[in-house]
Amino acid sequence: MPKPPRLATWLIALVSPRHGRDEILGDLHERFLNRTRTGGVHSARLWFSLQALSAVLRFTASHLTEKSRRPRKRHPKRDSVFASGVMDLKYAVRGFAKTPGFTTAVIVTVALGIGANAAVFPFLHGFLLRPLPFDEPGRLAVLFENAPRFTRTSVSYPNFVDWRARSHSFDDMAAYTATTVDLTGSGTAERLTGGVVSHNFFDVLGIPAAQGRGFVPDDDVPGAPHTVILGHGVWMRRFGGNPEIVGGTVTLDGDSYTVVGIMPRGVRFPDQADFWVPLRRSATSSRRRHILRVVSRLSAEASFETAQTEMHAIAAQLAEAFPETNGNRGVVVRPLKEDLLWGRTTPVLAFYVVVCLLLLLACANVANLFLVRAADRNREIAMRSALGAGRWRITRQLLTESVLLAMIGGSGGLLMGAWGRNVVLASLPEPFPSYFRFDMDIPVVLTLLGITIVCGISFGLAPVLRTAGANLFDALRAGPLAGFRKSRQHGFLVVSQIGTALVVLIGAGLMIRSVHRLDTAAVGFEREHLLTVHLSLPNDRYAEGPQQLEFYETVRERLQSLTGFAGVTGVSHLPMTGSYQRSEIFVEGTEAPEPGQEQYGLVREIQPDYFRVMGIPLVSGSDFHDGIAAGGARPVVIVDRSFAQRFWPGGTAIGRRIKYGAPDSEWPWMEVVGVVGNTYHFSLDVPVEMGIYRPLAQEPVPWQTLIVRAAGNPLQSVDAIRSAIWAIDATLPLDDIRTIDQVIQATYWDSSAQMWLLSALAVVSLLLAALGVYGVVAYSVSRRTLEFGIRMALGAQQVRVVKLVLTHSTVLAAAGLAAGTVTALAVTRFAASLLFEVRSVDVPTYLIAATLMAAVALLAAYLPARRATKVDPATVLRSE
Amino acid sequence: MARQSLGEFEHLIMLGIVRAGPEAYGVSIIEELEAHTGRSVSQAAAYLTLRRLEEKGWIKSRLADPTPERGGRAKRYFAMKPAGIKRLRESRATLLTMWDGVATEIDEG
Repeated sequence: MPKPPRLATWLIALVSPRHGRDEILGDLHERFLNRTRTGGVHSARLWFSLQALSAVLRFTASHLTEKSRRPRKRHPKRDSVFASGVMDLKYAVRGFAKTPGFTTAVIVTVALGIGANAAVFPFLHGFLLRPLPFDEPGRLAVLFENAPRFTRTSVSYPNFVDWRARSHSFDDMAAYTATTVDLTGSGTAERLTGGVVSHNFFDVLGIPAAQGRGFVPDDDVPGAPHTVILGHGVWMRRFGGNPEIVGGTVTLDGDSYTVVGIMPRGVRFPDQADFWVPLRRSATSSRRRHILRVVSRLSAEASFETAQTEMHAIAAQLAEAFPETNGNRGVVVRPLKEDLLWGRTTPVLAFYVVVCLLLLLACANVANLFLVRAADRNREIAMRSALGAGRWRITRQLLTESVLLAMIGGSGGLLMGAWGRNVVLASLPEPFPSYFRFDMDIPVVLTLLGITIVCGISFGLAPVLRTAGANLFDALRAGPLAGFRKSRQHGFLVVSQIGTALVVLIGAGLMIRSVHRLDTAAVGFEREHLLTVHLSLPNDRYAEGPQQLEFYETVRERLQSLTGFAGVTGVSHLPMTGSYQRSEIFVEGTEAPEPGQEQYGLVREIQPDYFRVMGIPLVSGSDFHDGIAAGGARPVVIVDRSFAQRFWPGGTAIGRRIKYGAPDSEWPWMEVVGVVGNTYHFSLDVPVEMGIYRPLAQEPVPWQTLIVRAAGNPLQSVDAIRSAIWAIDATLPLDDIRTIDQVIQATYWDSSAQMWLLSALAVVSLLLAALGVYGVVAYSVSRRTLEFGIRMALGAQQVRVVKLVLTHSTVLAAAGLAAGTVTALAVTRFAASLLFEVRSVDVPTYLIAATLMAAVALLAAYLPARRATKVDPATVLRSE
Repeated sequence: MARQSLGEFEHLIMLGIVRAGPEAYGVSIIEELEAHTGRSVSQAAAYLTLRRLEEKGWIKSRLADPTPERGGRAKRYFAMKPAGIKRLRESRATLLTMWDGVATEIDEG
């Protein structure tokens, strides 16, 4: 039997009058069941929630009017908790209206604290807490091969087939890899990324097709007709969501594919896939080609540990059977989520710790304000106790006030946080993998509201603890003359605020230095004024090498004839784009390598002038000469310095010979004609790998990134370049045009984003700490006005009074700085992995942050201190 | 004490009690209202009105045993008191008197 929504039921029970609660809930339950029968369970649940809303409004209103109509009818003790709660609320609101300054300060502070939290929490939730959008995602595993030099490598197809056949730990195992194609046909050409997958890919993930069917084994054999499954987004965008497309055909890279199905909305695994095609591989393909990723579903009996053990054994069997290719190769089994999160857990957690510190700071501030206010209200509270208000009643009143203010500020914070989250999302260079979602949905909002309530209670408790020990008689007798006793609570709060703010400041400082290093780091080529245009030639018109070469040659001539370009060239795998080709290399005269000890190099096929245009220095030998062509000419190669040093340290590289593959491979020997400087290829924090360069003319490939060195701002040439290329071939998609700086920055956008976020948080924390110091000092000054008046009447100099006030603040600030420095030393060590070429104990950063913090704290203390000297002794003395 | 006023919703609720007869309780009364007025009735509004009518002395109620289709919760039966019936009659008479003669004009519109 369906049940009404629990939260709504609970709400109704909370607000309904005690005597009618049972019958109201009973009636609603019955009506809910009737509605379920007539309109379905969903509409009934919605109806029930609306009933709850109506109950909240009507019963609250009825309570309030009832109270005003018959104020003395019932004894207060017989009031429901709710009714006296309403009284507390009314009383609280009246109090806030009387102290607008205090109220605003609290609301703004809480809004800042919760706002920072709300901006970051969706990311923590999206990455670490929200389950992945697959069926039972916790049982999904990824499998890699590993080899002595590579901890995780892709998998060869025959290995995948053997793993799948021999293992028992998995319900099923699927292989996939990413690809890009050009979608042509209706409308402009568009470059799509997609997955090449084994037929059972969606079965393993547990996602059925929304329209049509998934892949079947017959789709996934060599020579099978081309089939494709489209993603929801591309289906809507290109085909208007027309279901007729299932069974029809689309053109990908010039080939015709039959559409067999459409995936549901939001399914875009891997990465940002818009389509999926079957692998169609033969089990006899090479074991050397490691190109696949493998995802598996653990069977009910297996765990990740037992699966790992089993796969170890299978790897050993395969190593024995195929020593040439599988010797020394193992298998790594990891939870899918761990693999997808790779490297993200630390920054996300680090940021959440920072915003929690900030929230703590805000809470400390507000607690301070409440303490100050409680000191002012001592007499009022003592009076209420004397008139018979119990301890619990007063505590509840104080907590109602603090929680109410927290909720108001927290709501503002939620709105700020939603905005902050959008800013962070918009700063991402490209959409995040679709399986992580950072929505501000109900669980996120409820958690944040929960945090807000906890904060409200915690800073409300400060004055409660204080009143708990209050002596009624003293409080009543003490007039306004009761001085400000240096409270240890105030001191502690100020010290912790300064300390926390300093930690955040230091963190931001370290990030700023780190990103500055990245911005100016030497990448091995000259970064300025370079524009890059990615081109991928469709194989229906450019199937053969000569056609490809002719096209690139024409493009280069056209672009060189344009004014404003200092050089035009091209490369197969542009550094920093993530695109690469790693090939096994054998050097003439060396020993044949043991299995697992093979040497690899990053291969780039380049157009003429590459080194000059990129600004990569030629160390020895010469650049490729013009006229190097495929037929006849001897194969030549240029290696980088790391390659030359690895194989011919101290000797010359020129004239030596290397080849692709194993020593006995069919590849021809290539003669080294030059050595050039090293360049970073993946990102600045991935060490340089040995690189080799080949002339495109000898090894044509259908993909190239054109590189143009502009005289001025390269982005101004984008339109000219586009029209020049489209004049040659109007159907080529040209959507990936970026400056090299943009390409490089995209490799560390997370560092930049972290820097900006942390800097913003540092400013907020500085502000909060300043507010805290200011509040406490200002209050202490106001309580000591009389004392200062007397001192000055007796002849004290202004300077002396300022000094009196500042001494205490200085002690607190010094203690705060010391605490902050020690904490920062301990904390930033964990963030060291986020920094580039900056040690976590970076003395200048620490000094600058501490100086800044000290200056702000003293300024915040100085302003009220100066006010103390403006006291006119006569006025003060007369007023008492 | 001046004669207490009878609001439209109170009027409808009392007619609902009359229509539901001896089986008049929260759900059956509201169903009568919803069936004949076509509007959705808030449980809280109905409860508050029933309470008020009882306080005014026009209706009476008794608590009955819980039943399973109510999640094991008790139900309250309502019945008219003579004062309530009298008030309904008066109201009807007043309305009919007032309506006499205006019906055609409003129907035209």
